[in-house]
Amino acid sequence: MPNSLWSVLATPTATEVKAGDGAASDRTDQFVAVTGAESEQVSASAMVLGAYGLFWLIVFAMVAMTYRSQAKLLVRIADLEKRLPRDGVPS
Amino acid sequence: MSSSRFAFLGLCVATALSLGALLFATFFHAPMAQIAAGGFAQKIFYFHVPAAYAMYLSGVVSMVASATYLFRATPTRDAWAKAGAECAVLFGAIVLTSGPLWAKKAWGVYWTWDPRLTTLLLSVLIYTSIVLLREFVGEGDAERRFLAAMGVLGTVNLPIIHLSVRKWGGNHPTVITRGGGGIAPEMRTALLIGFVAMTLLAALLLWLRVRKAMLEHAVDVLEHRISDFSEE
Repeated sequence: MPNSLWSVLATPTATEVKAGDGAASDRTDQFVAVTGAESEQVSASAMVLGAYGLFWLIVFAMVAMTYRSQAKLLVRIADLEKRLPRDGVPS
Repeated sequence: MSSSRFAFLGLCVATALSLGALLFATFFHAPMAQIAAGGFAQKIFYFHVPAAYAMYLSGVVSMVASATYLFRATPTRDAWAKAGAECAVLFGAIVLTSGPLWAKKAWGVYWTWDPRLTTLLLSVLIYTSIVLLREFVGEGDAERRFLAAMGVLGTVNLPIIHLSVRKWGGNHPTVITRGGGGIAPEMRTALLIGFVAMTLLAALLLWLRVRKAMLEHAVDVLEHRISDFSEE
């Protein structure tokens, strides 16, 4: 397994984060612009690509499913309107 | 072309343009943040936070529609309540998938039981339960009123999510506060574009889901009319 993929899937060690220890004073309270990136073990590009990919996937899936449902419903409505009795006589 | 269709196409174009602008601002305008904030992974912030805001917005739409439905039940109000809950689930899913990927870089883990994460998960589960119940319970007035009440009560958790990080601490950053250190001006521009884009996207999706719900109602009405005629 490639190192980058393994680093994404690897279970974090207990020292990586202290969940629940986040006292207000320890939290990040600003984002500061920096020049030059430090070396990182987990690929940030993969994370960003994954996040944006999932975002577009979720949105497009919702839109596609909605359009498909609407198309089916419009066909159903047209069908029901044909069957709807007119002047007491079923068509 | 009808005014409604014209407005819908206008909303589609505005949403597409704003999402394009968000991508440009995120990757070509906003500078990279410090490693403690996730470095390049902090780019997720520009749609993660606006998506959370869009979830709040959708939840509020669901709550208002549900509350008005409880006073006077109409198919339109029910459609808005349903669409609001569905969009809240969608944006909640976006937040819950993008957040862990950023957290892995910034905190070293995908998930911690941080107060904001936990309360957000709770809200998404509440809206998911509303959406699922709407699919599986009957079409009666009692069921609709019960779901409307759930829509109102489910939204109570939204301010708790917002305030949780200030009240109970946790790992979550607090950059959008009066007292916080804030964000660089170029980052603020990208974030504002993100808020506009997600507002337009939420409006577009709400529009689509309301129309679908109204079409479902039209099918129900027609089926009842045909059924009534057959019984006669």
